[in-house]
Amino acid sequence: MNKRGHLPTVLLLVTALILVGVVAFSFATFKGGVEDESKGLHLLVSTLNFQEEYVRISFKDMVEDSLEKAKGQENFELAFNNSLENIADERRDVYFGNFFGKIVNKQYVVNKEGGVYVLQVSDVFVRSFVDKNEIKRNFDLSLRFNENEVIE
Amino acid sequence: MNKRGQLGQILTTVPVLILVFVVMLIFVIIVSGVSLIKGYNGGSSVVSGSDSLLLQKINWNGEKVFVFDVIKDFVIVDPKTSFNNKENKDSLEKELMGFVDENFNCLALFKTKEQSGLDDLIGKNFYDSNLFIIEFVNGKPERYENFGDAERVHRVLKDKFGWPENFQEIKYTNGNDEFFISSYYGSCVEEAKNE
Repeated sequence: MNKRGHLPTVLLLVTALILVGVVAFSFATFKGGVEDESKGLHLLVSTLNFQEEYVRISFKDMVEDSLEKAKGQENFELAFNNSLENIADERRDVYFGNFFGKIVNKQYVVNKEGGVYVLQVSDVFVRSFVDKNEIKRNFDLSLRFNENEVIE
Repeated sequence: MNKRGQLGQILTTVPVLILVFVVMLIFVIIVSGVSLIKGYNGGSSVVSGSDSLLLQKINWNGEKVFVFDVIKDFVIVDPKTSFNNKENKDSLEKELMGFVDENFNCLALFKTKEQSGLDDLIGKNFYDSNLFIIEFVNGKPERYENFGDAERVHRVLKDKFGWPENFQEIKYTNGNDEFFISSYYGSCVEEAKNE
């Protein structure tokens, strides 16, 4: 019998066994890392959603509060702007990105069309960090109101 | 190649190919078994803003503020220190009790220094000052008191509130100030076992 003819066949078996072992090992150990990663990513997204929602609700609250203070004032727009900036300064917290800072630094626009005002704040962002991961979300805020109330 | 050589090669190749086939079959069975037996069970949901307990408004020092803004200022006290914010804790708890009813009958809120740190919280007896558990029972809100039994607190939060999957957890960072807040506001998952 030709003994050298056996070598490739034996190698085929050995290689198959090694490949099967490696792939099975990688399948079996893959899940653990994902679970840990998932916990961090969940916290990251959860925090970011909370920050954005906090900013959106605060934006509307601040406009409503400023409206109340500006009502009946001789120069409504000036009184509204001053009140808005004061409230933003009181509530300022860098955890919520640049929203409060933008208001304090007058980086917003109020347009008047007829009796309706449109307040716009552009390029607002919130940012969430967990370990080495970071998510930044940019969005614009806009709200319509008249001298009495916010218009939905 | 002579006939004896060909015969010899057939005699070795056929059993080896059968062996390779068997090994592959075992591999397929093992891989199927891995996914069937230990499916990923770490699912959780992200709570939307409007459903968040932290974004509910309460009366605090004459103003309407978010629950988040109040709990943010709570100090995580040393377990050996007596309450340095008991008055505030009672006031916040009273406000939170107003949120629970027949439909939203379970509410939990706690602040920790570690992520999902309930074990850490309980282990170090931090819970007295930073843990709020309220349930609507027999037509009225009741707060859990005397958290002396850490195992009981753990069991209630896990079985009745579905911790940690049902909880909204957020991380707060501002300079050196870093902490985590977990909260749940909704219907009770099920009656706590052995309660």
